[in-house]
Amino acid sequence: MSQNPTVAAHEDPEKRPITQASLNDDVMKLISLPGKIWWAAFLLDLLVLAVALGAVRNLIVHGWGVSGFMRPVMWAVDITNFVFWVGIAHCGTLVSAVLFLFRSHFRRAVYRIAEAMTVFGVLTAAMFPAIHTGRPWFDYWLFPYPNQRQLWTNVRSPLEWDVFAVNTYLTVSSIFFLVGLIPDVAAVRDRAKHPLMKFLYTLLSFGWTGANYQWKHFYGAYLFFAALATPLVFSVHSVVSWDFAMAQTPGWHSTLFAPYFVAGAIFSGVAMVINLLIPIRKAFKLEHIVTIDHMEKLAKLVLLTSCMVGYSYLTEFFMAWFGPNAAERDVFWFRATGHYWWAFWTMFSCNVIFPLLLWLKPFRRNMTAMFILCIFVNIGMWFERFVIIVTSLTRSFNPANWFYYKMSFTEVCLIVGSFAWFFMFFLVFVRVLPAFSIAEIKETLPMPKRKGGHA
Amino acid sequence: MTRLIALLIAVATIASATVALSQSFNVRLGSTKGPEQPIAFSHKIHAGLLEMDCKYCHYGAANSPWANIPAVSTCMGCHKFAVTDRPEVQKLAGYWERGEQVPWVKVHYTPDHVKFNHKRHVRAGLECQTCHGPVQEMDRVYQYSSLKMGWCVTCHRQNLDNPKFPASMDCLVCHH
Amino acid sequence: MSDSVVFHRRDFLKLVGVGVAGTAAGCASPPAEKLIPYLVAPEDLLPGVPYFYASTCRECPAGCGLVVRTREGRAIKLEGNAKHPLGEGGLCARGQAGLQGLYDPDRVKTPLVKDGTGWKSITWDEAMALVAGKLGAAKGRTLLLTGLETGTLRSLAGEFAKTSAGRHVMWEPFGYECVRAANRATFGVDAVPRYDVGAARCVIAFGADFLETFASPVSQARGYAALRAKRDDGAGHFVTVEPRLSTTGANADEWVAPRPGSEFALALGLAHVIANEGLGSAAAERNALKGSLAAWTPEVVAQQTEVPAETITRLAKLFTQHGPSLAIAGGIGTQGTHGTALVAAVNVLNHVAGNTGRTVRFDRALDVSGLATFAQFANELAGMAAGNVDVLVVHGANPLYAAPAWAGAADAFAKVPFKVALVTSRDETSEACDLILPVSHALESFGDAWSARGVYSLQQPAMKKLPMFDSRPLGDLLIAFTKAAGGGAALPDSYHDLLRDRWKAMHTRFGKGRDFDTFWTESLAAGGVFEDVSEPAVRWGGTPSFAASERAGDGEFALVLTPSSNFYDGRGANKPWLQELPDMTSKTVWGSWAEIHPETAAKLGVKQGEPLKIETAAGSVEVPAYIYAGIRKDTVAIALGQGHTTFGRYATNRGVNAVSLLPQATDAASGALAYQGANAKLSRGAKAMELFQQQAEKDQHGRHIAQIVPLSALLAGSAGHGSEAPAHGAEGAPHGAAGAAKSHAGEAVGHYPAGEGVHVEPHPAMTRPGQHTEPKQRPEGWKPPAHAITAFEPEMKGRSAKNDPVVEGSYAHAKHRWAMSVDLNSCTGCAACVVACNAENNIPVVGPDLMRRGREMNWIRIDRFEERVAPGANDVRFVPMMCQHCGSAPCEMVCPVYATYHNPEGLNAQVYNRCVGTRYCSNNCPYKVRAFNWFDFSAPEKTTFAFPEPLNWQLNPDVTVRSKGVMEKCTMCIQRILEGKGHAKDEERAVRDGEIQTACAQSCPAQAITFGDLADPESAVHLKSFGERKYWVFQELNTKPGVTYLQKVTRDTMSEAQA
Repeated sequence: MSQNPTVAAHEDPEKRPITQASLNDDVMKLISLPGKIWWAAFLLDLLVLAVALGAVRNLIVHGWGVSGFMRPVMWAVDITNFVFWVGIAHCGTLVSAVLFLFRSHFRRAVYRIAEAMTVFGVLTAAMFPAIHTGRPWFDYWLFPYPNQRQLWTNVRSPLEWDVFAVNTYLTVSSIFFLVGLIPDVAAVRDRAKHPLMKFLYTLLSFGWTGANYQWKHFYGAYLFFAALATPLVFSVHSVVSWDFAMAQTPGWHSTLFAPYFVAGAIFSGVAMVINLLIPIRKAFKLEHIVTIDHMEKLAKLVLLTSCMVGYSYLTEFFMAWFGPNAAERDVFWFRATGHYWWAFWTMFSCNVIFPLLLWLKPFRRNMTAMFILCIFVNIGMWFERFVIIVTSLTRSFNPANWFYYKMSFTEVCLIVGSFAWFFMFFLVFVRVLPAFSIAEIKETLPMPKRKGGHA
Repeated sequence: MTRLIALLIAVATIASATVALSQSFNVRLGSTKGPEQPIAFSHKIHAGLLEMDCKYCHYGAANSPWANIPAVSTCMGCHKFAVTDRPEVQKLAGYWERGEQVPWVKVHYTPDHVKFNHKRHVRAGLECQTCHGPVQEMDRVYQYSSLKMGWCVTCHRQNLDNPKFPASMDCLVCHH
Repeated sequence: MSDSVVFHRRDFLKLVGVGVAGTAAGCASPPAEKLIPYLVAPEDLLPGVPYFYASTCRECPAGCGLVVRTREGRAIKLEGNAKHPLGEGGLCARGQAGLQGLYDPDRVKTPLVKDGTGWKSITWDEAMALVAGKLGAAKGRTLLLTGLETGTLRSLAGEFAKTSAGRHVMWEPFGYECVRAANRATFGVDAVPRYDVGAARCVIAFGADFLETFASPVSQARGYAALRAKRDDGAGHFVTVEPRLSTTGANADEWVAPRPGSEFALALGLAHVIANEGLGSAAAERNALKGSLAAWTPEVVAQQTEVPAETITRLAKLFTQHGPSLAIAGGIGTQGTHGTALVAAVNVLNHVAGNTGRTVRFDRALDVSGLATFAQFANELAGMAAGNVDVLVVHGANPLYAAPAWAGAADAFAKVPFKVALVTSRDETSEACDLILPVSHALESFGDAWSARGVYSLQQPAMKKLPMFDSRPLGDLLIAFTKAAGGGAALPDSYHDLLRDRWKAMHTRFGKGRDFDTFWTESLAAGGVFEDVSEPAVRWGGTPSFAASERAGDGEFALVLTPSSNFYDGRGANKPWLQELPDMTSKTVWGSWAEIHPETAAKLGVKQGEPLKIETAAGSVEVPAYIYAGIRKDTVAIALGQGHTTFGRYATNRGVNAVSLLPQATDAASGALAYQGANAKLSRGAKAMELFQQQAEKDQHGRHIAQIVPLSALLAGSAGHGSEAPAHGAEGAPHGAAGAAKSHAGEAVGHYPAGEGVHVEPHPAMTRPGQHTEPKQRPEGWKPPAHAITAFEPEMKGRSAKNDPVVEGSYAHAKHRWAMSVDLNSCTGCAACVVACNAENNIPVVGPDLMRRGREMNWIRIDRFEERVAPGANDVRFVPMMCQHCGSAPCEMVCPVYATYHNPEGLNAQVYNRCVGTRYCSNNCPYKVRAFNWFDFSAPEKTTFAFPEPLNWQLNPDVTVRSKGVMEKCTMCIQRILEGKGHAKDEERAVRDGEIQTACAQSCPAQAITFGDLADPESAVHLKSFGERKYWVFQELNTKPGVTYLQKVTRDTMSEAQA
């Protein structure tokens, strides 16, 4: 692919000029035959995934006994991962749909990555409810379909709501993602050499020619889907939170959960976007497309949601102390001081204390610091779910059943594997689809001169 | 191109629909032939022609959850004397003399997590034929009804308000 | 599910020549499966229908009555025989587990002869020839060693001994030497009396674990319930005197912890006070005794026992103030160097208080005469060591395990040239023999047991001999031996015939004009004949002199060996049910542990479960420490029964054998082995080991799970006045629960509207069957809105208004509301219900590894909560915890596929084959009573298979064996409910109260569990569930449980004025 001649080592990457031409080159230079590093990363990823699949195989063949689960802790890492990845998935739609509706322009540079993350995030998340059952081969019973047994599903069960919430979200976010891709894929199509790739791009670009009426319909559709997706951001994670809130287990049974989970989801999601963007813009020298200002705006989003999450934590404890339920009080006291205190304090410091640094501008504009911080945030958010699930179950109503859950190798595989699964999609995505929205960024560029410009 | 896609989608839809529907109807499994038995015992002759009472041989039907297969001794009760010249009867006699049990091939299947109770149904006045079909016309017995859950439930639902023998829709009645 | 297991189940039928049999693994593999009919139909046996046989339990010397439930000729469940004077329908955990002795996969298959170090299997003919040869040669030098045998078998054994001019020695590790010796000395009778706990109004147990292993635990538990049911003022007190609070003692109102070995002094102290102050009803010889008691003033006793003098006087008053009282001494707790002294002292106490003949009765005295004392047994061993025995025949005794090494059993055996073991399963002793002959299990053979005066129990085979074990009945073998020894000309060949002959005598006594065969069959059906025996005149013989005994060996800790209520003396250790049944004190499973006081532990720097080294003169063991406040600081306790070296796969190399700690000491007066009275050194162990605990947390954190009500409050009229009641029950609780709360509240908890007195409120779980959860009755033509899918309407409504089971069908037709009540006042924590449930419901045993990881499968468990465990007022509460069958169940609402739902008769159903295994139900269950199949316990090919052949033959065909990945839980024995309703339908009548009994309710020795129909206002469960002590666990959660608990009544023994 043609390297942009204007790039020189010494000059400030932020200041690099963007022209219609250079933009296409810059974005599409990602889409090239993958190099050694990419392959290395990809194969490593698959290797990890293979190990994880081995663990899953054991779960299915031998039963969940191979995990560390026991009574009373019958959910732990499985649902933790589920909620974690659904959370990750949330930011995508938020950034692309909500910010689109608010016309906040900094999204243009970042939303493609975010959306991809959403789709892959949901794909990862959806696996866990599926494999966490004792008899996964009967999972299809969770779908209401006419059957000769004349049995129906229990629509009172939050798990049943999950089935619908997650599927809806997957469908809508994928469509949204694919629609947004159309013009860019068309551009890629026009450059594609390999017949197979050309064929695939043709499929995805739905015969896009860039005609005026197409643009008209495109933006119509895009607006429509944005509007459709926006409520989902809030509904889906609320439903997920009700898996817990609807149960009466102390530590779960709380009306706070829906907003608390949504905030948390966006929090972890944005952090994840940052974690993905920073290396990409560095590796592919796209600092002039995804500028520091863009990143800083994301950082502010992190800071905001961090505060919301922190507030939720404090509220939970306040309510436990203020409310009449002794069991509830026990659970929260146990969280902070009991057997899993380390998990709790990891969560608290990663999600509430460290992000406070973002009040300082230098931190928001220092990519290294941001990267590390966001890693912490993601760790913290994973532990948040772990703490909610495990500590609550460990300390349920009947003291005769208080036992401590110990993680086994299987669960470690599930955690690592979920990341491998996610990055498998992501690595491919970066190589085959435009990771930044050419079309939308171009809107911000001056119209090209007659001469020497690419269409 | 677009045609191809359309075709694929159409095929997929139809396929899944078929699966769903075939699930929904009580399609009867197995043929009307029934399995080959070690002795070509004919219910047509015994139950039909001779009008023997089913419960004479299947003596458990009215008193036990299990209908029971008659003992070889029961068969020999008559066939010591009756039509001893027939080859099939001689086969039977052979088993008797060797002191072997006849390895009848099972015809009706219910999974092990189903606890069906013959006694209750017979005492509620159900004809054997209601479930087992016109056995008196079968030379070789075959599984007449699907014996699938939907099939049971349909009948139970119709008799929910049966004044004398109200059927139950409670899962526990069969699954415990 | 579990086809393959079920296949084996069916395969068995073929073997007994019955009914349907699969010939291929997997029941739904069409072409393969065959139906195997009878060859010849048995007249009296209908496949698919249960048959019951009365018999006698042989798991311990008590010999309670049994009813064996059989299906297709297999024994599948043991139950107590309600008509039998011993047990009266109850059956303990050990008795329930008898089945696993019958189906023990490690049973001896064929006769085995030692060849070199290994064993060679031979035919019966060879074996008998071998024995005959040896017996012929060994004139006059034979020894027949058995456990306690009574009735016909004892006489037969006698004959064998006579003909071979040898001897028959009966030895029981838990022999009653001390009790017998003391009774000889004081009453001149050599017997173990019947302790009429029920008739007493105050019971003091001196280390007697009368609810676990001593004498007749089941009958005594029945009595205990009667004792605790006493409501009039000051009655029903129970005080325990022991250095370590046993499971029996845990039920007491007060725990007195005297210096180990000084208990007898305390008894004498009480007697002294009673005699001097002329308390209670005087006995004839009171004055005579007064003299001999003069020395034992409270002060003297106090400084001997470390029990304050005022306590002694107080107890004396308590003991005598209300009519007959009862002091019990006996069992392993008292078997020490001071044992006889203690029992004698307690006899004095009883006699002074005038209890002899009233609560200490010799009418149904246990028949233990002829039982060799340990000393005598040791002599026999010495004789053997001296080479006086040529042929040794052993049955039902395991000296190489149960006798301490210094008794010299090992080299005694080595000295005997030819030893025959008649066993069902190989144990340490049979390993030391030369020939092992497989004898049939008690449930496979005829026999009789005259375990107590006037109780002549019969034992009949409930099934054919298991085909894979080529065994012969013990009786037949003894007859054969006698004949081989050149005698027994008069004897018939089969023991069955002999039995009938011997029972001719019975016939003449009890025949009442019936011909023998009728008499015989009727006796068999009844489980034996039981004559009413009168109380023999027992008069005071004489008072032995008492002196404090010295503790043996050095070391600053007193070693207390406790009997295992699960394994008895260790004979039950090869039964997986019992291994997995938590010990009710430490809640540990599958191993040994040692109990030490927290302060002691702190001193030694040992934490819970860390290795503890116990050293005595005799030896040392390392076991995980269990830190327990219920033990003196200067005492260490360790349970007997574990540490087998050869006893089947379940017992071998598990834990330690505490007997190895016993230094060479016996009780001189009685010749009993001194289980108590040794000193031990404690130190931190080196081995890494783990304590497998089934319940770690014993504090209920004010969750009001186990509730009590002081007797005073009860008598004051307002139940729950000052009693506990869950906080915040009133808020949001329904009419029922709120009212119930009211009736509990009193001034104790301020959250309630002040309730005056008890006014019966509708039970929360019903006014009409399932009022709260099952559909409401609707007026004619009422059409629900399509969206009306609520907790109160089944989803059917939303789907088809045409067929609407809400206004028609099952729910409308529901006549019953099955429910249960559990009386914590009589529950002793014996856990018989747990094993009964295991047996009835095909519950897999998961083993130590999974138990450690919290994978318990039991449907019912006994939660132990310790409110106050310290000398003085004692408050330990046992709560049988099973599915509460909630009226509005948290689990039902969260199951996405209706695998769990509410059935029309109020049961919380679990449909295994619909379960997908999301485990949400368990997470949402406040009681945590749901068990998940983590592995495939039902697939033979898996390593986790829980029913190795032939254990799978015990499986109840009416209950599905659950497979991997499904949730399971208590069903209130739905199979029994359906069976009962079936009977009622057949006879065209309504179900009678008490006709249907769950396995746990049936088994409960104390009858603490009542099952029945709440909708029937006459039913026992209805009356109890509406009684004044009723409460619901976590009622503040508004789950509307179908299980009602009755508060434990606590009695104040500490305050001086009782009346």
